[in-house]
Amino acid sequence: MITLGALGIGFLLVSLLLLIGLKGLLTARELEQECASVQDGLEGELGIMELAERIFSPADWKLIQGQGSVELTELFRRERRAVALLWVRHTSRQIRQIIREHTEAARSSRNVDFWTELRLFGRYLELRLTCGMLYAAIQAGGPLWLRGLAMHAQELSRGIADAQATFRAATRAGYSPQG
Amino acid sequence: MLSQAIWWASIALEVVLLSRGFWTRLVRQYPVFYCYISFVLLQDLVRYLAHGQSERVYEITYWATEFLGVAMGCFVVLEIYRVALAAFPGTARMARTVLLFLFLVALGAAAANTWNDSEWLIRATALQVEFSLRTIQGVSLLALVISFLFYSIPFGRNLRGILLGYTLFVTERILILTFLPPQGHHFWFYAYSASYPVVLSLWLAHLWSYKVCPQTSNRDPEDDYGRIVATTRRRLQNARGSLRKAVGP
Repeated sequence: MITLGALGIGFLLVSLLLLIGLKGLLTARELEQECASVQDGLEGELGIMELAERIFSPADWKLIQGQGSVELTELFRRERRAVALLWVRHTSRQIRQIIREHTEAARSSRNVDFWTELRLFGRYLELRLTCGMLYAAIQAGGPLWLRGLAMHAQELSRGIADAQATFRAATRAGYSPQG
Repeated sequence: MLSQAIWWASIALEVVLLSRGFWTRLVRQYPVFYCYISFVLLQDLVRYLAHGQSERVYEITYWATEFLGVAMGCFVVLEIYRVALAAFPGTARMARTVLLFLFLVALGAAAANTWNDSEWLIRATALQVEFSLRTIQGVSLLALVISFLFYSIPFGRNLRGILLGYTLFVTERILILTFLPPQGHHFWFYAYSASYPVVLSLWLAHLWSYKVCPQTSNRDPEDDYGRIVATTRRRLQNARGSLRKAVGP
């Protein structure tokens, strides 16, 4: 019975994830077609880096929120999410392109090193996986939520690091909780 | 009756395939593959003759020719590797390492089995041995196909046909050996037998005439692999930095 329940929950979760993914994919594809000309201008890898900083920055968000309009805020959130999804897809495509160019150059070289190729492939998979996770996270909570989450995680880790440093200092000074 | 029809259809297709091979001189391009087809044709005829004798004679003939066929198949895989990667030494090197690794894994697994149970090889049926060999062949083909796809190796129509047909044949054989009972003339037995003429037709369609293999090797005269790797690393690093900026506080 428990197994069936777990199976049901698992199925629901997977369906939900698929639905989210599909919805995002369709939205991004529509936008991708619309913004094809814009993308052409963003081919430079450094350009896309600056764009990332801007898309995920809270500065614009604060400005819009300061206007106090619910409609405007909602519209901004929707638009920003779509742009962020488009950016992730574009970055993912660029990563694919990098590895394609690499394989096309490396396939004819006599000095190919198996382990180097394997490491590059590992890095490529890692980046593609990051893109996938980023896509799902933006789809679920939006680009700013993602940044907020990262900041929260950093604060937490900083807190742990501080606590650890205090503990280490206390241990070094010969202090023990038992007195 | 149906078995006989499939048998004769296969023989007829093999004869046509061989004739076309000689006519178009594809035999020179793919000598191992055409040797394999000649062997299969001979095998069909020998098995047909043995079928008229006792069941024991047929059984011995069947397994002897079957294992020879598996061995010949390994050479076909090597020929695919040789022809496809002739202009791409980098991919050839990668594929060689992967195939060697697979071979060592298979050897290791066999050694481990022997260590655990020294009589397993004696007890193993011919079907089990064939299943193990076909699995190794299947995994090698898979590794080759992945290497070809990853390095975007261009294929000519002829080579694509050989690879497609042989992969289909090996996959079917593995599935049959895994899921179907070894004896009896049931539906799946006929389905599998009938699929062989389909594979032959596929080969015939792809090897009907000689097509030039578009091997456009863009070999760098300096062949600076270090530079290629450094460029890719830098570009991937940029992409990583960009992704980090997306979430970084």
